[in-house]
Amino acid sequence: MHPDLSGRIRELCTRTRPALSPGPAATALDVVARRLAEPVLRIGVGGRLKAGKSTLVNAVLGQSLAATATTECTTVVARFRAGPQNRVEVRLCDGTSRTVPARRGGGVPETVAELGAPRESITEIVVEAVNDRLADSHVLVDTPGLDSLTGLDGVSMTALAGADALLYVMPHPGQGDREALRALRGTATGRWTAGTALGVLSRIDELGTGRDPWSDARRLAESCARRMRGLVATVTPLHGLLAETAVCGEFTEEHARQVHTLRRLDGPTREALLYSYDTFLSGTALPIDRAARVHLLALLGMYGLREVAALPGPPALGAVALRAHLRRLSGLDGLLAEIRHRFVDRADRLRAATALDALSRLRVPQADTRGAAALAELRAQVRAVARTPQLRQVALGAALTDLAGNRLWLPPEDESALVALATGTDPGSCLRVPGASPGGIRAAADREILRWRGHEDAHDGVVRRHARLAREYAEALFFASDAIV
Amino acid sequence: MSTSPPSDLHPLGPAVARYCADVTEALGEEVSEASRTAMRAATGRLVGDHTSAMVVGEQKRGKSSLINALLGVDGLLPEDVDVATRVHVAVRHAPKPSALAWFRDATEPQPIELTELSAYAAVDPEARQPRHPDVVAVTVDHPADVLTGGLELIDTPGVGGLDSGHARLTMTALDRADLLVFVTSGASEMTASELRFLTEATERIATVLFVLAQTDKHPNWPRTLERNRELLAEHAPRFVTAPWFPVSSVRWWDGVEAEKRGEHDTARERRRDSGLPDLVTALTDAAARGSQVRLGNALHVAGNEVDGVVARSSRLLRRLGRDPGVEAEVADLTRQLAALESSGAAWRATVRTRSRELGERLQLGFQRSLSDLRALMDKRIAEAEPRELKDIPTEMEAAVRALWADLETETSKAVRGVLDEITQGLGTPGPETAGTDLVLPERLRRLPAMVVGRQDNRSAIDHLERLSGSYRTGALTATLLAVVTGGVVIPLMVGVLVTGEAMFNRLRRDQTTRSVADVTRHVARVVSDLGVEVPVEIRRVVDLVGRSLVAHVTAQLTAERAQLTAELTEQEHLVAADDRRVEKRRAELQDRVDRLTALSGRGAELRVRLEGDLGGAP
Repeated sequence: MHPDLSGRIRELCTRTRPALSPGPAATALDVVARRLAEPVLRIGVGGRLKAGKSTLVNAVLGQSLAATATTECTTVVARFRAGPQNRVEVRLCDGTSRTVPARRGGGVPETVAELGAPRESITEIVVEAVNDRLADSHVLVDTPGLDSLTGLDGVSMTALAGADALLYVMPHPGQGDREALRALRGTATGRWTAGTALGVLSRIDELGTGRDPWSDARRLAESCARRMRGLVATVTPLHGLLAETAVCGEFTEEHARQVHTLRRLDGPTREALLYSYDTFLSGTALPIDRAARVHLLALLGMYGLREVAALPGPPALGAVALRAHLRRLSGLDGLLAEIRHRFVDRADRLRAATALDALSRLRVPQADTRGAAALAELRAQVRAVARTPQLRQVALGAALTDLAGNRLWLPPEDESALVALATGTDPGSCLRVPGASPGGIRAAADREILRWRGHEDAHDGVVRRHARLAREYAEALFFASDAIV
Repeated sequence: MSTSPPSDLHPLGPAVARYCADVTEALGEEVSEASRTAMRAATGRLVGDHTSAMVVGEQKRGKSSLINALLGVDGLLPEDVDVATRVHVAVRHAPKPSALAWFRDATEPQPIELTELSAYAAVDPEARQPRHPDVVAVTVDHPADVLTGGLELIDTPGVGGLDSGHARLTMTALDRADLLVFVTSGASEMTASELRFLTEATERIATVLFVLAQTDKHPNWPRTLERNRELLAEHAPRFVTAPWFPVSSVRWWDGVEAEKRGEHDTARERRRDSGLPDLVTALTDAAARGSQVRLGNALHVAGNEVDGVVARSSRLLRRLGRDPGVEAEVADLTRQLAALESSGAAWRATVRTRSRELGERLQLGFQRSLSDLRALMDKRIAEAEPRELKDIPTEMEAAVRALWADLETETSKAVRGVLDEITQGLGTPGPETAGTDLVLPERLRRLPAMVVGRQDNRSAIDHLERLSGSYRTGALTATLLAVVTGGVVIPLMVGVLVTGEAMFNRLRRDQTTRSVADVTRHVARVVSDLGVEVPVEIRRVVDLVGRSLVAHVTAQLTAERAQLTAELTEQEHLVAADDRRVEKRRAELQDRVDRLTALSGRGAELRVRLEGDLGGAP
């Protein structure tokens, strides 16, 4: 049983709080305590304009709650959390907040007017919805696109800085994204590293000709992950639209029947009809009215339409079967697995790291001797907590930051070892011996201990610092495996 | 080829090209090597003087795909779902396709196969590394229809952020572009960085065609276009009226495929929906203004060639008819050319003076750029986060490259200026030739005025007009222009680049930059190296310019004189020969004069039509 780090830190906060007089330090401590009282991890979703953030949010939530392109509310930061009913809390700059009704079926209202306040005066909206995923594992924060001419970068960055983990969404990863990620890391005091950020390659149907996006997407995701090494853990491709359609319940039996009609057309007719969105909307061969076609296109896109239309097998496929197929096509499960594996399974340590980061920055006026003593005690405790193996690994994330920023220079083999240590999700993957026996883990940990001890007397201070962290973490893994035996 | 977009070239383009080809063929071996060179140069100028359209935009906007579709050549420029283009690739017209790779450490470009373009101009999609990292640019010759009007398409690496040295290099390269094709995506409204790039780029270029690419993938593109217009109105109002072209390269190729299958209606529809024909029209229209002027110049040179040969043949005919005036005419011409060749000729002094001034101007400009560079780098170091320090040498390399490109542009501009003046000097009789009245062939008197446009070679053309008093010097001047654009400026640029590359290599060798002190030291050393080496290089280059010009002009004059001497010799031979042979020769000459006169008439007619198109331009 893992000790609950968040609980321990919360306890520290409770113990320290009475010693602090009202002031910035006390307020900051309260914020940390409140965050730790929330049961789940907070994941920020960021990216440039029109990267596909809201679609991803909906797909991950399994419910269309986020503002989409057709609504105005993409310019407001939206936090999604579980609640007993569908409603939206609008938080204003002056510290007040009000509650407004959610969109029908839940989620961000269609227009800013429905929020009851001008956009400029809103800091964020908290969307509560009856949603199992939100209740179980995480809170998502959707942010306005970076680099827009509307000038909302600051708003987005602040919102993302408060999250425990980051999903960075990019349709065509490039220099702009590297810059955006660096800027994000700047506002998040360096916490966004490969240990806490995950890249998502979105809108993959736009790659190449769009007819067979997956092979291109995999290759691009891989090369992009290499280029962004140290900035994000991996880059996972996702067809957001299909994912949303597959899981958000808008694809009904009626749509399945329309797809069936489409599949019954003979090959050449179907091909001509599905040549482009124009031909699909205007072709005469399909006995479906235009409004329905527009809706079907909005749900599936041309890639999705072509894929379901070309499905072999029994003539009639119900909505359930089609949704399952769309889900396979979308790559959603791969993304959910990554989120679970890298974020949710490590939620405790990620949340603890966010809290420790905030606590380590608490300051009280020098005259406040009682407060200062309480903070000194708090820091000592914080350091003790930080020595637990899980948090040592989070601390190693700083090494990845230095790697990405070229401040840390290591031989390639040692660099790979370090990246594995800092991003692995279990002892086997940390030590690059996946699935090894406890004996194998111990042997591998021993090798790592030796490797990093060798670097501990390096001339370069940066190398020394990270080598010590790496060695300590390897030792923690070594002893943990002993315990298993 | 039916695979090329229906190009709307200058209507006279093909006719003029044919005319030049006919003239070259008709003159054949009868003309000296020098004159044939002049002809080739003139014909070359028909397609050699380009209207450069630089295609810019963020990465992955489909710039290379767009150019491939415009050219009608599938996969000519490398395309990849991952970032592809790494260096500038300029595509120009030529009868046969070929390509050259320009290397940083070589003075001569290396011919490469068209199929190898991606290896030289793109990043290896697998290894994510350039296979030839020392390639600095690639130039491609291609017979695609869209280029025949003098359009040059320049593909650029996608710009991802404006603060890097690479973006600055693209900016500098814009100096050589005539118009900008700004490619945005149908997926998303324009971003803040796109607008920043646009604003900066258009400080240097007035004409912008906006392209909304990949419309096939985004059913909502009309909304995006609408939104872009709104954003421009709000943030960059001067582009409110600029044209937008929604295009889809994919659809264009689907049209080509449909055509191959024989589905003509579908093909037509796809091509129309691709939006490409409209863009082609706009591009060729934009090139047409430049091409009208250039077509006029080509006609002029070709016409001069024909008329020169006609005049010579006519002189021979007259000589055969024992006309006493001819001998004096030829002797006068010979004497005048000899005077121009002499070491005291006025144009040599002009070259000397202007070269010196050019040198001074370049030195001053360089010193300014260097202190700008130093300031930029100091600022960069002061603001850089520690982990960014390692990037600074790379950024500096890019910035130095940009500085070099500035220098190059300035040099070639200055060389053109010097040349204008020299050609003017050639037309002005020097002390030795004062008072010599040349016999002007009647046909030349009737020549319509030279077609003159607003191009920067206007003054040269003005001088040409004045020069038509000397029946060969017009062609000579044209040759000189060709020489300068093709023969002097390029080696000059390469010379400049070579020095630059030595410096770049040094920049690259220093990789151990871990601290602010290291980087500061590195920057200071590079700046000081540049300060020592470049002024010397500029002096060398300017000296080279001066000597090259003198050598070329002298060579042309010598060749001319040799031609006239040969003429005299032939006449003397003929005089000595018997009547039957003279009669045969006279018939041959008459036939040739008739044919060439007809050709000359065709040229004159083309000129009239071209002037009509110019709508009463001066």
